[in-house]
Amino acid sequence: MSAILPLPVVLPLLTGIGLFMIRHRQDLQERLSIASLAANLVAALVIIRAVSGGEMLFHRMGMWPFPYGIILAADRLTGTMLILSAAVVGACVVFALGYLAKNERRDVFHPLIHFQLMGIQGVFLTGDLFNLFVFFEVMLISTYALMSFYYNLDQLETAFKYTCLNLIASAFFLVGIALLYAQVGTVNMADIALKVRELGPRPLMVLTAFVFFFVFSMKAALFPMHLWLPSAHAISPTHIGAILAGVLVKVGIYAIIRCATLIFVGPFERLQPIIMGVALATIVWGALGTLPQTSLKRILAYSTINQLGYIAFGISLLSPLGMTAAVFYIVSHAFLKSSMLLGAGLNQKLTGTVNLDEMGGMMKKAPYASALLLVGFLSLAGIPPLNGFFSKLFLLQAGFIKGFYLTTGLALLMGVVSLYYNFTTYQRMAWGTGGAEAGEASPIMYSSVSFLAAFAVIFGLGVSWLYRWSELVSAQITQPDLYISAMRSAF
Amino acid sequence: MTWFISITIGVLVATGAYLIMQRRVIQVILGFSLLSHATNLMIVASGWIGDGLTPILRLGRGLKPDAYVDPLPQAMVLTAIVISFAVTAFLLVLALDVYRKFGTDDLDKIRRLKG
Repeated sequence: MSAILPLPVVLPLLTGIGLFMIRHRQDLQERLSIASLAANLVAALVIIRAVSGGEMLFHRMGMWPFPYGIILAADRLTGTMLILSAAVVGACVVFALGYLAKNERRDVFHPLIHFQLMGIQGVFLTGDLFNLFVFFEVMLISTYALMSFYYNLDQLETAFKYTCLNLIASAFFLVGIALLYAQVGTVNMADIALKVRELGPRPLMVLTAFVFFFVFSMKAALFPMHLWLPSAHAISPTHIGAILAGVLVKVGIYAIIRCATLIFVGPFERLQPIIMGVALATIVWGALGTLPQTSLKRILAYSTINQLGYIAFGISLLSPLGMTAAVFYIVSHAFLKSSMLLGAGLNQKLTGTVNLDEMGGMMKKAPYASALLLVGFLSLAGIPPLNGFFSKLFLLQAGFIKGFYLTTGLALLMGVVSLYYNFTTYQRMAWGTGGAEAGEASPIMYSSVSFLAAFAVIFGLGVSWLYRWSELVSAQITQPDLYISAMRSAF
Repeated sequence: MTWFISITIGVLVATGAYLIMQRRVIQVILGFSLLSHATNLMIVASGWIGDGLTPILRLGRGLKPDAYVDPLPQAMVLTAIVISFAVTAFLLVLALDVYRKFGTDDLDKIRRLKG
């Protein structure tokens, strides 16, 4: 059974290489790309089915004994993230089929997206910290190329900025690995967890944990390292922006969760005030940042920062309940925000603008496209029975139970701001009177936005089901001994 | 030897940080590549034993793991070098494109061109 674990890494890799070779035959390339994404989703479903009972899968690459060599591991969290990346990236690629005109550099788009997917899923699967770094870089280097897709000045500048910031983060990642390796002499995550526990939260270890938190908060766009995100969302092509908001930032969040629950359990307890402060600053900055914006995509970008702050707040509670709320939030936000960015791209395709005031009156011009965004905005604003309401509810509940009344109160207050900006944004877009005329968009774009937006309703109506699953995930990851002993006894 | 490595890392980081803050794209890129050399050296140093032998086992010396330098960080550094090489190459292509399109590699001027 565990032999399936390399598949979500190997399949996109081989597909990417193959698609690059047949880049002159676009129809064939598209068909193969979609087929591979479908197979990838099936593999993710098989993995999540195998781990849903609570057992974990491990696969040794290179047959080395336990603490040596690279180990791929899957628990419930990994399975959840795999489903998420497979579904969201798949929907975005389908959207791109309609979004990109025939000769718009499609030939390199498909191979790059598969290399990116390989990096993303590798991060979720690996049980080795240095291997995590390698997969991060695989993911990032394809993202750099995808961001500068049209080669115009804005994109070149954004890609350059994003690359530079990530190079700094990568340098710190390596510094963190060097600091950690000098102390524990291993890069296997379960083995590191054991040794870190033995050494206790001494100052140098807390510093090391902070370096890792800094690196991952850069990828997850937490304050003060969030400045790259708005321009990256607004300037990159829509489907890339949607993958960024839906999956890439969640990769950073995933790495923070692994640090907090497995690798650096002790040191992160010391760091709790810092993490919570960072989370709150992110919530406030993201919520207030939306107010002066006029571009639909930029508003969605600041709202992503806002939501990431909420997720980080859930993690910073360092309690099983907080982790449950964070996992619930991650899943619902991934589908919701990518559907909204694709929806914004759909409206952009229809009217040729992302400026809210120029759009105005979309309700009449393109009723279905604006209805799809309405679902998203209502959910983001936290209106029951959509999932955005429950994500915030569980989070605030976890905060109050843990006794952080003041900070949770502040998070609640910012929820009111988010209610305000979501309503005014939709109002300006749907009811105003703008000059832009609505054109045509292919049905394939509508279908992929609808697919993602449907989850906002499904997760809202089926809230107890997703909540129970989040509880199961959280119960497993907040007991690091389960992971460590399972990995040890597997080999 | 440890002090020598520490000073080298410090000098590389300082030079790299200085270059990153310059205006020309090419200086920024060189700065990043110096910074990555510094971090690579730091990883090698994390597996360093003062007077350790090269980690190649030879007949007749016996198996004394403590006598050898840890080879794993050196393997990791190889990977890190390849990655930083690839990213530097990408940045150079990006810089070349910017230069071809706008006839300048001055970041301030590029910002002004954008208006």
